[in-house]
Amino acid sequence: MPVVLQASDNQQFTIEKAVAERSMLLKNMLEDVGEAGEPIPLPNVAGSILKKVIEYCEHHKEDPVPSAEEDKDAFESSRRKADDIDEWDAQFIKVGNEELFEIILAANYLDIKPLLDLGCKTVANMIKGKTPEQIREMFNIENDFTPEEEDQIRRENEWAADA
Amino acid sequence: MTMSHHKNKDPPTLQSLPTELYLQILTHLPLTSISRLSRTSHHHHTLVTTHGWAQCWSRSSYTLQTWPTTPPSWLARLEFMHNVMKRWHSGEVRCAWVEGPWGRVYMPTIVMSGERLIWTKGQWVEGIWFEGGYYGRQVRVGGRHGGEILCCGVMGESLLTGGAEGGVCIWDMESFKSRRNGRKRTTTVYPLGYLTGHTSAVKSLTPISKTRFLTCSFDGTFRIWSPDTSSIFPIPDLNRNRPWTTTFASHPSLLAVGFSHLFPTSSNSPLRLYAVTPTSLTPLADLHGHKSSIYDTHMIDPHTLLSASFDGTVRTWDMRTRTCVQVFEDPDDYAVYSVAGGSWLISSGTAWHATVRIWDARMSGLVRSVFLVERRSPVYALAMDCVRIVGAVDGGVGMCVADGMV
Repeated sequence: MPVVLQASDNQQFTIEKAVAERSMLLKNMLEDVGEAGEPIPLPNVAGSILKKVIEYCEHHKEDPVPSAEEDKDAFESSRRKADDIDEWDAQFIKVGNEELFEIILAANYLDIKPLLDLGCKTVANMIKGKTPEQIREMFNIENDFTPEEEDQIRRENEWAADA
Repeated sequence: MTMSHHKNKDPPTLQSLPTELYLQILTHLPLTSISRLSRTSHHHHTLVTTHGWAQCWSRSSYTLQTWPTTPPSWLARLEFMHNVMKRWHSGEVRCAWVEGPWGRVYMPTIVMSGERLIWTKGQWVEGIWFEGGYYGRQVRVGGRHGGEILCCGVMGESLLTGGAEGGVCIWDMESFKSRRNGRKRTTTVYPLGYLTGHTSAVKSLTPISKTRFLTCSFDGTFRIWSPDTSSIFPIPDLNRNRPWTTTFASHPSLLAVGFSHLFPTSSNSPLRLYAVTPTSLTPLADLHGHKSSIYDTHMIDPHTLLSASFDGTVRTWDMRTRTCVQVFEDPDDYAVYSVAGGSWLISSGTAWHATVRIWDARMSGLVRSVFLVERRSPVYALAMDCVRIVGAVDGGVGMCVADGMV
């Protein structure tokens, strides 16, 4: 029984149920309403991003399903090494910054934990090993410190300056 | 990619992410990177100093004996942790006997509770109080069991011991604390109570509240004891496996049990979870992954469990998803006898030459191996806070300390 998803720009996608169930949000929804066949509106996700997310779910549809009663704030569960991203995932997530954050937001909204983890790890890997100036450049952060403030913050963070 | 659907909102950036997602990204970053991120702008500085550091610290779950009475700021604590980690990484550590060497005893075990360090030595339990830096005066109890003590635990101001003969003793810590002031180095005390019920050795003992504790025995039962009323709740059998180690987390009340002497199969896992109430013990889940007996378990926090196995690995488990999160493989494939740690640093005691492996939990890597003491012995039990690792070996107790941090 296929599932129809409708993105914020009214674009529609027809996918297998197994693919849709990678998303805990959709899984619960399908359990609650049964299979009515009506398109499920996803007003928070744009068509182009939804397409990307579906691509991910298609690829991972065979993965073991995470246990049902998973906590939402599972900080600790993601304490894996940040660079253990598999090859397909690494290729998949090679996108522009804007799209990357869109994917993270969509994964969070749709409650697809592995994809959310992948997104967060990717952002973390972009920050790792960079100086504050390089981080600013990478993420378009405007330096709004006065020179005095900057100096003070640099000093209070001196303990972490090496390594 | 078309942007038409974004007419009414700006494209997302690192700055516009909801705080919870921002914090989730921080969990994948080393401290240095978090600090650098905080130096990029007011926005990031505020986020990191109000939420980020607190999160890093609360995830580290160590009790520290070295804090001054007023708790320092998050930043000061993290600075301290960072310096400690640097020492573990650079090898500025010292190893020494705490006590020993003495003759062989049966499988010693160790408990670190606040300022106390307590270990078993054959028929006796001995302990020291950390005072300021190293360790201070010593106490010793035991004898009542008439045989080896296999496990011990601290419940409030009571010390509990479980013996090979199947009995459990309750000792008052305060009474020998006041009597140890004399010149005599050790004091023998009589127990407050002696509980019988188990028909075989009490292998493991875990306090589950201020007044209740749980024992598990080779007779194939768990018992939950309440010392006031001495009421006992026998728990259904564990069939043929030997329950070897238990660890308990409150909120939610979870008991993890490691079994030995079995061949793991899909229906017979060496590591199992139970839900505990004062009157019941319900199987919740089997944790699959280990290929052999479990010798030690340790709960870092209610969500994270550590397990050490004869198969040469230490694993961390997420209690909510009940899945294995990390695997630490011993570089020489030694069996792992003991494990301790927090979410920054994990230590595992191996089967040979008092070797202890120290792992960085955040980066999943081996930091270093240390020989706790000069002794051809497994490390039977480990206890640690972030600045010291204490291990029980055949005939003694050894300690490894991050230099200059205590």
